Amino acid sequence: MRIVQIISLIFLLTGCLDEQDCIITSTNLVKINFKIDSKTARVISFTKINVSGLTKDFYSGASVSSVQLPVSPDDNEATFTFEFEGRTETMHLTYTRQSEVVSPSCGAFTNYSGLSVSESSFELFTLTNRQLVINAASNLEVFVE
Amino acid sequence: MRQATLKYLLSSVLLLLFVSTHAQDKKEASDSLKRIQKPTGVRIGTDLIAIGKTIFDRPLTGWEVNADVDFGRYYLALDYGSSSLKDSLDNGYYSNDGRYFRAGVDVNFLLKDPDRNMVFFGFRYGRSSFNEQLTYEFTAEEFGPVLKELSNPNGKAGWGELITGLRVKMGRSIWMGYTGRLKFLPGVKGNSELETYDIPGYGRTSKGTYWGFNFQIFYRIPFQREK
Repeated sequence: MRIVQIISLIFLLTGCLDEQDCIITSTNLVKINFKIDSKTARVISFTKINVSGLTKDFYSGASVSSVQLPVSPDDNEATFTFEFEGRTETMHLTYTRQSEVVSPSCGAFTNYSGLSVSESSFELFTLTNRQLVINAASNLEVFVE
Repeated sequence: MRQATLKYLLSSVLLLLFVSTHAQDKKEASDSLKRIQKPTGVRIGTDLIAIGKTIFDRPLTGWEVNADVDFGRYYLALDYGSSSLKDSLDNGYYSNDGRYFRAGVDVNFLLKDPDRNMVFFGFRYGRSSFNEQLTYEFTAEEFGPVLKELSNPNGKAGWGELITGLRVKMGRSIWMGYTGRLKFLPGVKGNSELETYDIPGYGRTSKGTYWGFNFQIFYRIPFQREK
């Protein structure tokens, strides 16, 4: 009978652990940090950045060491074209999307994960986080001289 | 619902503690019942909570048929059911529909009860086949409003359950009782773009462990005429 008592207590205690929270941290923005080396940020004066599927130019005339660029919620790949300091570099990314329901009151959202670089004209880069989340320090680190 | 479930389980625990103490006091010879024996009858029943939810038009509707066959203190149990969920979300709509079964064994801790009452503990393995649909709207950075319509027409899932409960004889051939279920380890196969939200027979997929509760009525058909 002892085993029944123990199992019954497990039933009772587990009932306290099914609260659902409503915090959704997913985003369709890829955060890219530009660096000279692993410790030093590289500030780049962009002419513009183009994102596949969008006609708008991003970061036109901006001098930054970090950019956040959107990927399409209807596709599994994106191409970023960076124009800066007389150079044009491209980066082709792939990712997976998954729709999840949190709860009736929180609704559903799209989760972006499995980020990878399939092609890049940048010679050196590091994938730091394959999940696209709001507070990511970075998803990619690109090393530019 | 959860409060009610906890209340019933608490009363179950208290009853189990009472039965445990009572059984230890008696210490009578019950070895013969501890062995696997020839079955004497089949009990067929249904879940009254599932029927109640269906009648009162809750988001979750369905039905469930339960059956068990006695082998001494051990009962071979089989459940078959249908479940359908239609739920409005803050930014859309989710629905599913499916069939499921559970198979397992119960162990009765009320030995030598002439009325075949049960205080039992057992386990189940569950399988479900279902379809699900999700439609929702959201705003993606720079891409604007997006409408997603996704479906998973051939979802399949499996899980395990630890169960405990009671069966009490209410009249000739009629038993009533309840079953508390601790469901765990859900595994799902289906459309990778839509993460399954609700598995018919299991519940919310995001929960590694999930509660189930049945209030059941059974009719017993003996295999031989009983005295």
